[in-house]
This record gives sequence, C-alpha cells and structure tokens, in this order.
Amino acid sequence: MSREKVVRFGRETKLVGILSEPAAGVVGGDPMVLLVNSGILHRVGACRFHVRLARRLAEEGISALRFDFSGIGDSEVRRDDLAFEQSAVAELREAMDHLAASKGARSFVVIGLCSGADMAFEVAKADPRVVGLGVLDPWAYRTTRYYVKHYAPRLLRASAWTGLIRRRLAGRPAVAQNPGEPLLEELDLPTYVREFPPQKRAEDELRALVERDVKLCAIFSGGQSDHYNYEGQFADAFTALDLSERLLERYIPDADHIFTNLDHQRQVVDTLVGWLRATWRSTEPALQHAGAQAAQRLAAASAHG
Amino acid sequence: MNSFFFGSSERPLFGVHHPPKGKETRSEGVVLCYPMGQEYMRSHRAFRQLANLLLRRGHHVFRFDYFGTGDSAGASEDGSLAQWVCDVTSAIEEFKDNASLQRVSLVGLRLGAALATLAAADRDDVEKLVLWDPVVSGPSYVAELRAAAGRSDGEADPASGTIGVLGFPLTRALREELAQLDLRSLEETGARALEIVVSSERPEWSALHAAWVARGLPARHACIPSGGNWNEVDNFGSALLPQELIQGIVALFEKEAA
Repeated sequence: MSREKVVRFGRETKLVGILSEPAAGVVGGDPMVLLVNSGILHRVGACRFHVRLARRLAEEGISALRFDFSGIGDSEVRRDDLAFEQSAVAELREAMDHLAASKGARSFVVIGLCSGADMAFEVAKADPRVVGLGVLDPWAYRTTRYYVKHYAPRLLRASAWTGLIRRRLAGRPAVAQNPGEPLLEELDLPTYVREFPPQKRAEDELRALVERDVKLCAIFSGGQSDHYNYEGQFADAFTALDLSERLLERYIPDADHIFTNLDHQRQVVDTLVGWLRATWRSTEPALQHAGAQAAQRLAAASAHG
Repeated sequence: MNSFFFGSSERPLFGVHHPPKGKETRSEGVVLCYPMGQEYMRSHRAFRQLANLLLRRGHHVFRFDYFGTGDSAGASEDGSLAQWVCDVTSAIEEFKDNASLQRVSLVGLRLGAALATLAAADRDDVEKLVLWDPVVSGPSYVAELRAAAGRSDGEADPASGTIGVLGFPLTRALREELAQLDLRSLEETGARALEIVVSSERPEWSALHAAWVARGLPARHACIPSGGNWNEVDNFGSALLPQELIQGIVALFEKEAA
C-alpha cells in the first residue's frame, strides 16, 4: 500500500502537491516521477488519472509527485510576469530540487497529457536530471503514411469532396464564464495556446534528448487524429534519429483525448507502469518489454486470422 | 491555506482549510461539499474562488475530497453515498476542531448538496445549508448520468455492473444507493436555514422548495441565471465559473453578518 502526504515547495510561490511513496520499508530510489497538469485541470489529472497512476507506481516502488502549477488547483498565483512555458519549467525544476533535497532524488521521469506533455518536453530540454518522458498526445507530425490513411477512405466517398474543412490547432478559452463582476486575481489563470513547434525544431530538440539517452513513452489517442493516425507515426516522423532503443510508442485509436473510457484508462496506466518498470526497475532492457508486447499483438492478430 | 490529510489512517481524506483574511473573523465557518465525477473536475476552480471570496469576508472555509475522490484515499469505484455522508460529518468535526468553531454552514453543489443535506439532518450545529443546483432525486440523477455517458461508455460492465460516465465509474452499488435518494422526502433538518440557489428554473428545484415549505422547513429558493452545465467534458478540461451565482452565494453570508 502506498503512502501519501501533502508537500509544499516553491521559492517565490507556494506550490502544493501530493507525494505518493512506496510502503514503509520499500526502497524507492531513482527515478522519481513528476505528474504535470493538463491545461487547468488540477493535480488529480483528467478523470483522476494522476491519482491512479501515482498509486500504481508507488506499489511498484516508484515515488510520484502530482502537483499544481502556480494559479492552478491549490497553488498560489505567481506575482511575476513569466510566460506559462517559462514558469512551468521553473516550477518543475523546483519540484525536482525539493525531491532532491528531501528525498535524495537524482533523476526524474516527467509524465503529462497534452499541454502537460509539452511542458514535459520543455523541462527535459532544460534539465539533465530528466531521464524519461511519458507523454500522452504530445506533438505529432503528419507523414506520407498518415496522409494515405487519412485520405484513402475519403477518396472513395463523394461527400468528402464537398465543403472545405479548415483545421487549426489553437487554444480555446479554458474557462466558461458568465458575465458579471470580475473576480480579480481569482481569474488569473495561466494562459497557454498549444502550437506544435516546427518539425525541424522538434527534431533538433529530440536529438539533444536522444544524445542524453532520455527514454520516451508516447501514447496517442484517437482524439488527436487530425495529426496522428497510426502507431509508429511518431518514429516515422523522425527517421533521422535513432529512437528505436529509446521509444515505446502506443496508439489507442478509439480513445478520446482525455481517455474517458475506463478500459482505455487502464491501458494507459498499464502501459506507463510497464514501461517504467521495464526501463528502470528491471535488468531487462525496456525494448524487450516493448518487443514482447509487439509479439503478443502479432500473435493475437494471427489468432484472429 | 493549509492542506492536509485527516480522518482514519486507513482511509485518509484530503482537506484544505482556508483561514479568514481581513480585519474581522466570523464565528461561522463554511464547509464546501463538491459534486462527484466529471462535475467535480469541472467545479474545482469555482470552489476555490468561492473559498477565496468567503475568507475575505472573514469566514474560515474548509473543502475536502470524499473517500474515493480527488486526492483522498480509495479507488474511484469505492465511493458510496453512506461513506460520503460520513465523510461530510468527519470534515465538519475536523474543521470545527481546527478552527475552534461552534457552528458551521454547508454549501454543496449537485450531489454535494444532497450529501450536505443528509449530513445536516442529525446535527444541531449547522447554521445555513446552501444547496447549489442540487441533485434532488437519485433516480433522475442516474438517468442524467446514463444519458451523459452515451452509448459506448454507458453500457454496464457485465461482470461488475459498473458504468463509465464521462471518465468516472458509476458502480451498481452506488446506483442502488442513489435509487433511494429523494430530498423532497426530508422531514426535518438541523439547519437553521435552507437556501436553494439554482442556475436555471427546473421543476425539480421548485418542487423541492415547495415540498420543504409545505413541511414548515425554513427553505428559500433563488434562481440566478448562469452556467449550470456541470456534467460536461471536452478535450480542453474546461472549468465552469458561474460568477453571478458564486457571488449570490457569498451574498447569503454577507446578509448574515449585516
């Protein structure tokens, strides 16, 4: 059974989180896991995903901290004018400093969904203590195969030729408000408009992480099908990089962006826990684990004809 | 703001105590009772704002997660109405001890309003009970949840009987408990005032008011048109902040002080 306690940290701004640790007597050790807010959802995560994951990880002997960025959940609002991308990285590093000082942690895996995935990449670039990223619906780039999968079924349908579909990935107001007297600083939410970096820049940044041997588990939902539509597309978008030994890529096409389906939630938790266990808690290389899963899928596919 | 775990070591609950700010401290503390499921996610921000506004008017405020919800112990499948009513009681006791309070008021949203009502029934230390867009009838609420779940998630798992509703499990046991819930049948309350504050006109809310008034309960009903679509989910994790209604609730506590 895991143990949980409230932690408070932060130099300028008081940040609040919950640390899930292995049962007393179990040695946790490195790496520790940081769970990152998605949008303005507080630290429990979409559909309480962070709570479930943190407790499963603690049972596996891995400590996990879920906390709120400034202005989100129970953490204070920042008084400086840092952009969200900067404050998020600064606060993730403060979380690492806190766990280093209080628990002796030296390395970290950062896990997040959507904007949380973006911030996981940002902090990995900035801090060499990050040794792994578990990213859900991170940025994705269309490949030739993506277009084939995307357009082939449509070319057969006459209706696909009518109308013009304009798609943008852009932020939307995250808070539905009624008109009324403003609530002053209570409305001071961090603002973040999600835009994927240009592919070349993403590749360069990913290359720097590969050179540091940062491990990556990328899970995609069908909720991002405008940008991603087959398992392996992430690796295909970066063929210039040697990701094979470092990437576990999964696609759950029926899942929506925040994985509301209970079975999909279990799949995501199992995948992340399995990846962490295989990569950092086993003598077996992570890719043996990934390879075993691929072999299982192939066997299942054969069994179904 | 002081956040901590309280209750038994086997089933710790997460709570946040907001001490008052400002010159004056009121003797009446306010316990906030969240709704459940996706409604909890969507309203968390609104509760933080309500807490901030109340503490600036001199109130101690306490908010907490029920067992199996938020940061409290327990899996999401483990929650039950009976447990949650006990959790409201534990929260009131913890809060009174922490803040040295004699009396409290309760503000509950959706199912939280029903839980607060049930918890207040046997108490004599509840000043005001504020029911914000309350769940009045358990069967109607379950029907609403099933409709929100849609076809794919709304089918019960054959083994467990659990239905997925917008990312949260609705177990068979909880559905059976909800089937017995009807606030209109409340005979008496320990609360000195019952304030039904709603975001739109719905027959169930006016019927609740009428039923309580007919029994001589000290109930009032106010509609403050504002956002009330709590059980929604989208890709952006949107929060709902019905400012006018939040301020309407705060005003109930200002009137008390005047």
